[in-house]
Amino acid sequence: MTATGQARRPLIVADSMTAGYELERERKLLTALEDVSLTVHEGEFLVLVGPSGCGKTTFINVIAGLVKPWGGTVTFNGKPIDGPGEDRSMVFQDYAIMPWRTVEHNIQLPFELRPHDFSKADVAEKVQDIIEDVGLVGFEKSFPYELSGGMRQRVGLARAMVTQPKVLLADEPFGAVDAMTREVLQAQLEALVMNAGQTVVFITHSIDEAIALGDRIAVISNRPGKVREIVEVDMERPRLAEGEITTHPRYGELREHLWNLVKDEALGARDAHHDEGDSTGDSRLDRLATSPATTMDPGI
Amino acid sequence: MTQTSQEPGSKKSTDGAALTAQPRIKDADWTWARIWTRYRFAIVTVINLSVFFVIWQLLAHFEVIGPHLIFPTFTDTLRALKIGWFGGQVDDGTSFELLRDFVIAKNAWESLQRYAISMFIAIGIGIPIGLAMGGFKWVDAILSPYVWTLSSLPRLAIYAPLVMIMGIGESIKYALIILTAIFPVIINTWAGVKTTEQSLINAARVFGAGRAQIYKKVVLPYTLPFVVSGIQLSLSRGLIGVVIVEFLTGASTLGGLGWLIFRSASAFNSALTYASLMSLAVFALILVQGTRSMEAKIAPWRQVSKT
Repeated sequence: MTATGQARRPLIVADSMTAGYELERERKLLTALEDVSLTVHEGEFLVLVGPSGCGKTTFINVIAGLVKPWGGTVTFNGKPIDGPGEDRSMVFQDYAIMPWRTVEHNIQLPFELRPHDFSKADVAEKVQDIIEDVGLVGFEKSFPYELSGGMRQRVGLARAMVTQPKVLLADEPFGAVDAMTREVLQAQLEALVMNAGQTVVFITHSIDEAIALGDRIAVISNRPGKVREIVEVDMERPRLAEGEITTHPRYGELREHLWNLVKDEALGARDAHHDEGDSTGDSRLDRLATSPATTMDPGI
Repeated sequence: MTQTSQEPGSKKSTDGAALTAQPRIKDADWTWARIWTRYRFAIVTVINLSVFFVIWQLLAHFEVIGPHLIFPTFTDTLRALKIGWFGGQVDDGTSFELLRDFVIAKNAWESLQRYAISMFIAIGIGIPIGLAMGGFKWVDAILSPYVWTLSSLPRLAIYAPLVMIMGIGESIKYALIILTAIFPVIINTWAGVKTTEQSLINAARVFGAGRAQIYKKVVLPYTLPFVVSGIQLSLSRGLIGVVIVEFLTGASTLGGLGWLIFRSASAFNSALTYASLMSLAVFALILVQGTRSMEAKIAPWRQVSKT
């Protein structure tokens, strides 16, 4: 979390970055982000909000090392990002947990994929600890199909946090979760990252979620996405442990300010673009999530 | 427990007083209605099949469809089944030349061996081919014209050129059964690899998987249920292959169950034909029902997501 007063060290620096993806069927390259410069400081919780298809997911995929930028530079700890690394882990919108693995085996996956010095017992202990932290006790041997959406995302969160990575990337992790569960998960996430001091880059569609979680909120403009404005959330933590955040005196002002910014972009999006897909083309859910108007074949 | 039992049998008006003492789960009374709801399908099946066999017997007995040479009675068929499987023939002068002790059992064993070996080879070759085609673009590009052509071609058509090359012997039987059975395995395996969810692959990459690990930890488990349904399809295709190949190649004595069906029919031993056919049907039924539960056992995570 933001340590105000302490010097903020830049951890992830995007410098006039351009990125996009290929539309396979139409053989076209689509620019999702253009000339984006954004700095994520060590230990901060940065939230990206913006209209559908503005390139938020592309940005997070670039940081994760899944997508290479077309132009500009993105550095992590001063070094250009070249593929995924153990200091960055991710929570996915569609959970992306392995359906053939039990809860504990899903959470243990990062230890199987990267070499480490922990003994089997250490790994088991770490897995059990994180299972307790996210509230999955009793479901260790369950398969994902036996769990609700909220429980599945707890598995996704636990898998991302079990290695105590420096950076947690979250691509609309609670978007498909019901409203009540979402609030519980938000509070759990806040507690988890406050404990571990993680740097978080978090995507959401929800302004309320952005204010509840973010130290800073970057509003991304329409495709090709640019950073339109960065809003500081000057509210003390923990915000979600007890009480109702919406009654905080700053809440209303922040919400209105952000809503005006996002509304402009969303309305602009409807006028300017009738094109395809969400921001990466990587995830099928992204494609499914687009409105019928945008998935229609322009050729017809 | 404060909740009342919602069992259909419970009567609301009378248990109002004993509300707190009601257990949530209690044994239901055995009434005729309950027995009927539970066992109705078994009861209907028994009645259904009995009616079927009675009508068969009547049709054959009064020679409605044709003489016994063409359409045997159910009882004659049962007798042929008994002799063909368990022996005990009494030579009373009424027997046909083909119907000998254990003749169905011996031919069935012959077919089963042929079938089992061919299926092992088909599955053993088919899975690696499918995996390679799904995993490597070049293998896919090189093999796919042959795979798709051969899989769409009626397999019977390649019998003639195969005979020219291999002659009529055991090897052509195996070749044709394998060619009949192999493609569902290849194509299903290929489809499994191809449709592996990108988000699962991305997740594995984020957590450090290289190409080999992506295959081992994501693509292979994801493909497993596809392989299983490919095998199911292949098993029933292979059975067709066995019968056809035994019919085409013929034999003088021990040609297999398929051969026995055709051979006895051409000798107008209709009881033996129907007995062999029934044996084949039971085997096929067991096979299909047996493999149906295979996927649920091997890939339990698939069951619920389907509903």
